[in-house]
Amino acid sequence: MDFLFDMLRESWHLLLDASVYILFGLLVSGLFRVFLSPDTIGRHLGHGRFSSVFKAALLGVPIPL
Amino acid sequence: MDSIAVTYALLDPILTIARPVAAFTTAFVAGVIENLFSYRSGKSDIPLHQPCPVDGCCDGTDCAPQAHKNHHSFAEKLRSGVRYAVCELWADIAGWFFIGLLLAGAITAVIPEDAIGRTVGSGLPAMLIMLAVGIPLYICATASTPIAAALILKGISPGAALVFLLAGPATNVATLTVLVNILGKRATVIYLLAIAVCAVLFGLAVDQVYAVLGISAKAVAGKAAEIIPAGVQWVAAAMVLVISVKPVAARLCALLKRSKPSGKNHVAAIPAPAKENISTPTACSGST
Repeated sequence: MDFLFDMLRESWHLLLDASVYILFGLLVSGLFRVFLSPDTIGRHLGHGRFSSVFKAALLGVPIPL
Repeated sequence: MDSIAVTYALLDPILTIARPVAAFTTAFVAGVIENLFSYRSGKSDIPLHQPCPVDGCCDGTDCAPQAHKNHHSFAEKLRSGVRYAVCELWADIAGWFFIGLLLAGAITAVIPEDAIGRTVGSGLPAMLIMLAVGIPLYICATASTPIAAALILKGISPGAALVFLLAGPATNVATLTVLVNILGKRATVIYLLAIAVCAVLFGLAVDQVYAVLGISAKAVAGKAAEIIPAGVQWVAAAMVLVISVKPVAARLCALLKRSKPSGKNHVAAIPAPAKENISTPTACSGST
């Protein structure tokens, strides 16, 4: 019982620490989605042996998976 | 983006920079090696599926992006962006994030202070253990962050934590089976090796950076959150909880519906939810 209480308290502390940043991250991701057109992305990623991988990797970094 | 922000909140600036840089390099190395082995030249003509991101008013085939640009006002776009973030993005992450949060809470509550630090806290052995744990684990970047924070507070080196942060989200048992099917065994082994080698190299490098700068990761973890006033933290936590209720409930319902009486428990069901279709709520209380 004590363990459960400790666990929930620690989780709650982490949630308090993270929440503001979560909301910020979500907002930025949402703006990316609406203001970046897939056309732009497709033009950069369609072809190329190295450049396409480079750009795709760069692009993948902020994608929250 | 989300996980970067959370890394900044729960860990520290060095890892916040190291994590995306390492993730990028790992992805690049894995991709280039993959392309070296199997590259078919010629332009791919995969048709781009580009429906209107605002409200799906057109599917992008008859409607050029240039013409479509002026269809929606700035406020409409903003609104739709927030709706997407809350109703789709967070709906996908929320369940996993709370599992990560509870796991992190359990680690903090159960493992005695410095127990890890005294045994396998740093160096190559710690990183190999993190690889062994991280590779099969099904966890997303945002959910792995609180766990890494808990491990650091228990005395693990920041480099070993970074290995976990890289290997955890990059691979899991489910994606590996899919990779074997799509790319074949050789490509999957290359992919795994590339991730493992890059993760460990970055882990060792990050430990060096901390050593050179004389910083204790344990001492600075979570400092970013301290500049935020307690009141703001509570409001934000409440908002996160409010937008999480619906998706978490939906996921729980889906889990309960799928697990049969003879089935084990939901541990067995966890690796599957990629294919799960959680109905996206059309009206969303969180964004209004």
